[in-house]
Amino acid sequence: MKNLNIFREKSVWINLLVVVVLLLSWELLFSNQDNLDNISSFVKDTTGWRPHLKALSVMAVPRPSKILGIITTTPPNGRGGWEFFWYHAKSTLSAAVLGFFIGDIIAILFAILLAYVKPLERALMPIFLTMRSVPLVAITPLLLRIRFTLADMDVVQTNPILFSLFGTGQVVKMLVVIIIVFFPTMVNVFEGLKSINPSEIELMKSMNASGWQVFWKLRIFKAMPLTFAALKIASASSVLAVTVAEWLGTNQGLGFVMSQGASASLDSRHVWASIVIVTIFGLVFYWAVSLLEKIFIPWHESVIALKQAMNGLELDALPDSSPAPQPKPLASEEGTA
Amino acid sequence: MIVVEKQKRLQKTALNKGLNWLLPVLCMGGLILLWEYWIGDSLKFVLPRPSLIFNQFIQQIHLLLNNAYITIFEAFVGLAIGTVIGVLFSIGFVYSKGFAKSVYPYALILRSLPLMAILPILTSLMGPGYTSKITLIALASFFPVLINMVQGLTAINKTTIELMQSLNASKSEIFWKVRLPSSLPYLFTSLKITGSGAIVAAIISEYMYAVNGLGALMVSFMFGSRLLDLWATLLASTILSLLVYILIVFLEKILIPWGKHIKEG
Repeated sequence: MKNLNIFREKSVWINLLVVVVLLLSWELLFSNQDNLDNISSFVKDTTGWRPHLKALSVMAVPRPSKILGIITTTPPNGRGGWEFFWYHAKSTLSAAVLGFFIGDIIAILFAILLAYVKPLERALMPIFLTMRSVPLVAITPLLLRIRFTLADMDVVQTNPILFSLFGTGQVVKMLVVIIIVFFPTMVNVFEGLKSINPSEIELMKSMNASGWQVFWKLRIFKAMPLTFAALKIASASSVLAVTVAEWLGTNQGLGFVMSQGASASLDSRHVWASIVIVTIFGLVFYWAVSLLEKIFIPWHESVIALKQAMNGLELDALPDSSPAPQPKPLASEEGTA
Repeated sequence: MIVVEKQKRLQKTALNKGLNWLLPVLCMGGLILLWEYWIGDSLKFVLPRPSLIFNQFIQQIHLLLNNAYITIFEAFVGLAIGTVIGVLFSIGFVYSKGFAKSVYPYALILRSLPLMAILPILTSLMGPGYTSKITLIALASFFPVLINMVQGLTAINKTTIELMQSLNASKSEIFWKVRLPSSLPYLFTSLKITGSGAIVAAIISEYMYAVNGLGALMVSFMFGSRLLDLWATLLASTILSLLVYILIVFLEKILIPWGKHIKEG
């Protein structure tokens, strides 16, 4: 229950207070267009410049109670309420989570393969390192184009298996996630598996450990910190990737709801509500992976550092005359290659 | 004997280095050749031949460049703003615990948000012009810079600071002569992520509310069934982000030649 300590800190309550005050003033300010008009005419009187901001409109920025309202209650035309948002959230969630798991499992298997087969490592690793810094989300329009083409073909229209793959956008969304998640995870797991001291292996060998045992009892644990660093990033980017794919070319999902905000049937309330849901989902996903990290590698410094950060950031506690640690960035980033 | 062995070892490492370049290039080249001649035109509607893509790339180079300028402009302005704010915040973090405590939770939340998802909000606040996209890119590049700079500013030997203090250095002198120079390698580490990240963010933010830029180009090609042009645009954006990465690595080598020593500890 040590985590609850953060609620005894004064700063947490101050932060909460700030958030509540901001939400309340948002609610009050945007309850009436006159308030906003007053603000812009006040700015005009004092500075001589009239702000032509879209933000100063009740239509563009719904107040919190309206956003909550569209999520909880169904309007007469049926476009809102729990069922409407669950229908769309379901599609986003399943694509992100399934893509995350499939992509990561493939990446981990690949990393193990490459860590043990030297020629493959030398031939493929530079390519993977390059692929990691390529903007893979940009591939989304291409995948969607391919799906549109395939969905129109007769073979796909008549074959039920092919149709379930390409007829709907679901598989393409997953595919985008798999591609995006694969490279960073694979590189990090690989580097983790390789980050063993020769002396550690020698110790195990001197105790007559088999290669299998070296893998299960040493390499796996050595690889975990970097793996979790990659998984945390992957969790955030998988949600993002699905949302982007849904913006562009599907007819289901929270991203689709966002992209339809300007259309006749949906309005800004739907946009803001789906952003709130996507954000909550992203945070929960990220925290779930962080929780797994805490459970699996409680000894690791990244977990300890996070704990320290939550308990009041001891930045000035410099280690006693130890050499400067390597600039290992928080995320996957530049490998040691 | 020893000299001969040393020479042998040197030759071996030279060969090794050559292989390190050659193998991936061969592998990649093999894949492309397979794609060109073995797959050929059989999957034309999804995978056009590489030579056709490259040809299209050359033919469309003016269109691609004109749109790439806009993407680059958005990315660089956003990146610059995000980096400056990140650096300023990191200095605040290191020198004021109260500031760090009150800002860190929000920064952490910002980090775990699916940032692209707030683009519709930013657009509704600022209109569909450049401002919303630049703001988004700045937000996206802020956190990596902040975290890496905090690490960089604090990762100094205690003895170095003690030495400076024994030489009667003031706090600002310690900052300008020790903390800042030794944190710059960390800044470049973060720029390597945020640099190509900014290009991606610019492209994605053009998907939805834009008429110009590589992202908008891709979307219009997607809906227009122009597969070859789509592949060419993809090639252009890949080249662009790799160029940005190379530029940052190059700048790091030129601007902070001492970075290597710090990284090696």
